[in-house]
Amino acid sequence: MNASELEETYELLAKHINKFDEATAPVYLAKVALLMASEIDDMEAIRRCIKAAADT
Amino acid sequence: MRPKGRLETDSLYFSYPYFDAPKGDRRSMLNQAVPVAIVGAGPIGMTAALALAREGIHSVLIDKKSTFNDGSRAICISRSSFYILQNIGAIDAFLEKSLGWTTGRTFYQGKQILEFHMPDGPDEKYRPMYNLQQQYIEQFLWDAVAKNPLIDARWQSEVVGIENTFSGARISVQDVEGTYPLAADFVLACDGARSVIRTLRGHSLRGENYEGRYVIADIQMDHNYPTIRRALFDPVSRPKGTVLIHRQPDNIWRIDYQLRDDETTDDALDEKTVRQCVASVLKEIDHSGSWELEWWSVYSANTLALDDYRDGPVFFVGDSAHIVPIFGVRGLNNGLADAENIAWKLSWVLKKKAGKSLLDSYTPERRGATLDVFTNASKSARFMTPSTHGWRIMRDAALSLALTHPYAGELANPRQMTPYIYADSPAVVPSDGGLIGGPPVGAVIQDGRTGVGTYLSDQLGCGFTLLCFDEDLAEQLREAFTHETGIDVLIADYTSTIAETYAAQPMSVYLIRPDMHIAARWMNATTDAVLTGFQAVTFQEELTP
Repeated sequence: MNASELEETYELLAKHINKFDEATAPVYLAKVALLMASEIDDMEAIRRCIKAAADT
Repeated sequence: MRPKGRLETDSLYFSYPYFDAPKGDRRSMLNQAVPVAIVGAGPIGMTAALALAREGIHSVLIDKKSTFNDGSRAICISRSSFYILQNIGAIDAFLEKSLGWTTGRTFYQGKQILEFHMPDGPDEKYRPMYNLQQQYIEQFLWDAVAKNPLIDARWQSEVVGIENTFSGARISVQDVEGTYPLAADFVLACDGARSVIRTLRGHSLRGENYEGRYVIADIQMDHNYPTIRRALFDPVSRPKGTVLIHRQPDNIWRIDYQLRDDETTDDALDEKTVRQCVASVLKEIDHSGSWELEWWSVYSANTLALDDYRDGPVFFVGDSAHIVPIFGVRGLNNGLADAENIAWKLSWVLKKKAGKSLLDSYTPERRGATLDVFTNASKSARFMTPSTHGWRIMRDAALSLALTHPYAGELANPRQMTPYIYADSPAVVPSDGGLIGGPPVGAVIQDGRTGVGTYLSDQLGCGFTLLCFDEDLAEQLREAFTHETGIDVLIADYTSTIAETYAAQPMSVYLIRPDMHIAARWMNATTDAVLTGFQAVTFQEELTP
């Protein structure tokens, strides 16, 4: 992913999170994570991402 | 604001001059008509006056104050602005005093997550950015203004009225001895964010206000850190907030810190509060020595602009036309570019070297630049002061992730200003002329070395310049342009680095405007094509023989 794609991802997510209230935003983000995991279809990478996000 | 016991201009390191209103013999000349009246003798007004004088145009510079703006305010001057200062003959003092910088560092919870470097290299004439207090900026510009016989500066003089006339505008100027009329072909409103001219003409800025408020404080201290911009996110000193730190000359340091929602502006501006907050930031950056408070103010981010920068004979320049967030240092720099842009166009129209339609290119060019600034500045402002939970969650996630994944730190890059490309302007020929590569039409030139210690920019004329790469073609162009004034022909070897930068062939030509933006270019130029291009961008069909 290049810098402009990363920035676009950042902006798309922020704008979509804004459509949900603060209580339901986590559910939206969890759905995004599950959909992305399905698209990635690489269990090792998925485990790595889940752990990395928790570790930071 | 200044510490208790010190006057508004009682600085630790700078002596503010005092300027009287016009007196004595000068008063009998005050209402003589002038080509251009400039309202506001800040950096933008003085730059406009010097740019007009460069073309031989007389102006009157009017300001209600008796000295420069108090406090430091704008401190970052970009490389492109240094070229403007070079063009108006004021660069030497800036080079001597200012601190050049290329690097910024971003920290999250005390740990560095990003170090960015702005484009720079040994062939660049100027550094990408310089820090210099605004009072020095005004002082150095004033030094040039004061010795220029084409500029009549009138301090302690306030514009209280303005009306259109058949040939331009008439303003009413009030000073201690009374009110007098002053007729001008054109008026430049360089009177800042609270522009009186804008109010008198009934215009309003439109756009967005951001919620984040910052205290900006200048302090004096011996602090051993290079001239590197530091941005601290969620620091111990301001939990959940942001802090920016810039070094300036004379051991002055700018500290900007974000206010929390529960901090009122009045409380935040209290000297005791400012001292406590600054002390907390200094502790965080390991400064244990003494320091003194110089000046402070409060700031909130806005992206506001006029719909049209022109109202008949009146042009709005700088903050009177637009207000941009500080993040990315675009306020002063954008204003300086406005000033140079309108000044050369007015000069060419007043000297009847260009048709009046040239002036209609000011708004699309400079408002276009402002909107471009808004796009980038809004991104920076959203990162610095997220206004909604969506932006805040993403910002916090990016910062946190950046601790272990450096790519996420790039999202904290402040996206410094780059000159806007006037691609769709009526004052350029919108074609690539067959050239592939090189700076496009509407872009500012790419400077480069032409010899030891000499640069392309040093060789450009005061007016338009034809940059060509073949002796015979250059001679033909000189002949073709014999009857035109204000255009020079410059030859570069087509095997040189300059030719490579410009992707030039032997018969290539670039037409460069007085503001160093490219008006047209051709891969295989003919004298007819170049002459036609020059006449088009200067609207010469409107000039009667």
